[in-house]
Amino acid sequence: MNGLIPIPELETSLLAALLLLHASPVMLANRLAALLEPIRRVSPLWLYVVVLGMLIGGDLVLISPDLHRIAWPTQALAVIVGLLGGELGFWLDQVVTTLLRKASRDTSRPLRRLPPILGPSPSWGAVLSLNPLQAADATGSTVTRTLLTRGEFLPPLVVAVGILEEIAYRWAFPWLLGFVLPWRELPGLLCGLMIANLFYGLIHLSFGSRTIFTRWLLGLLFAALVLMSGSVLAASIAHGLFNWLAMKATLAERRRPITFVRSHPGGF
Amino acid sequence: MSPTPLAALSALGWILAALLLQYVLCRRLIMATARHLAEQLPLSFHYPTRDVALTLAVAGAGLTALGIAWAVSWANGENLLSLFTEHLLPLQLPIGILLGLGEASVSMLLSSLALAVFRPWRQRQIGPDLINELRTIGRAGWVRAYRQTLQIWPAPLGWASIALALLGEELLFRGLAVRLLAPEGFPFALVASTFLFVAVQAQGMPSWFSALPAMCGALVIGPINAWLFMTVPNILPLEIAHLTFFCSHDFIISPLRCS
Repeated sequence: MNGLIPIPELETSLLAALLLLHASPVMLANRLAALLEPIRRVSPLWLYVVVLGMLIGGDLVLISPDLHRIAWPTQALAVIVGLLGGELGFWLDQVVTTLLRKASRDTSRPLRRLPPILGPSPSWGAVLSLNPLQAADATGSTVTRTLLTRGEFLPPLVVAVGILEEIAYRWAFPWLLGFVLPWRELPGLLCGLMIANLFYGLIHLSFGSRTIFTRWLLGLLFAALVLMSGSVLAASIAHGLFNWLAMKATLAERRRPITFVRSHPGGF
Repeated sequence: MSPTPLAALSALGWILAALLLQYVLCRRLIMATARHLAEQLPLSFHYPTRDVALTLAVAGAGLTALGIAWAVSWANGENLLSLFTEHLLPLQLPIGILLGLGEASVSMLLSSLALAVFRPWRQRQIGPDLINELRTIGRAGWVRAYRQTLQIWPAPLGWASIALALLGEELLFRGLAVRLLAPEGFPFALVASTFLFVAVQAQGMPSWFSALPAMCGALVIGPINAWLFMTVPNILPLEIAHLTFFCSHDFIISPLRCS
């Protein structure tokens, strides 16, 4: 690691910390939102962007100052490939989701049989008061849809999340994994990309098992773009475009009724 | 000199004896003593005696773990104090915080996954009572003791008790288990210490299902801390990571928010 940490004793600790932080930054953002909630209500998506930004900044400063030179080459073609990849990804996601819906009668909300308690228009506090494990279990997609209909997800933010996720999951995380994996060169990169993609799929757990699979597939497409173009630029553009298209599609469904899952009735 | 099977068995025997002493014998003694002490304390007028006893047991468990780790280390010719003083770099402490945050985020992801995977199975076992069990997750067993410690005692005392209990765990599973098993090879030390660390998380929990999040947390902390301990044998950064891990969890955040 050719960064600013020349002390060998610290390298392993720092590497372990960065690997863990890159694996699931969304959970960190959710925890930050819960911590800040008594002081100020902040959308988890904003915090997710901040956490991703800090992680990527940490990679650049602490571990590899030349990461930016490798990650962002000047490639005009990459922009076109990225735009095409985004469209293809969105189409693929729609097709696979439709096929999976037809194949299974199960809805995306795992605890759907439980009676609603938060009511049709719950407050932010009521949503956050859910046990995070239950919330991750049941409300991810519902909360996202609610925030979307409240206009809390600005399009540039949604696009930024896609770009930052690509840098984190398709470049920095596999690159960090390269230090602990026994393989080098292409096998090491492929293995790193697969592991990173597995975590990328898993962070969508709150949207249901179907979404884990579709995002895992999408991650494979973006990983292929990285491997083909040799940079993360095309995949970043593709992911940003995909997020924007997905947000538009979700907004189109805003008239659908929202049902929240029962929380605990009172104190402990 | 290469390690012999007898040496491995001897190390495992020492570790198992220490864990049995801490988690079976001492646990009962601590609870009985804590209950007796709690009845004498004025706090019992304001809080249920059982809750006060639980909070005393947290600190008691930390103290006994410290004593057991010291005694077993001494018996094996190891110096426990060196785990605090040697190989310590100031920069390791902030990295410990980062490490704790990372461990917390991955363990939350694994916990959510484990609950989602095992929920249908559990639903077949207990039916509609599952929702009640889901509500108590992160609020029952030994987790409740930590929550009560923060609610009942003044913040510095509460945090000191929790830090002591976590230090006891780090000393038993890293300072003792990893160090004694290290001569048998790094993979064996890592797997065995993690297995034991995951196994003890289930004790005191109402059911295997409600123990899943704690076990997932141990599954993340166990190998990572063991790996780092093998690299830099100092317990303080790992203790800070463990404490940060606890701070970032909802069962710690919720009572603070309520207060």
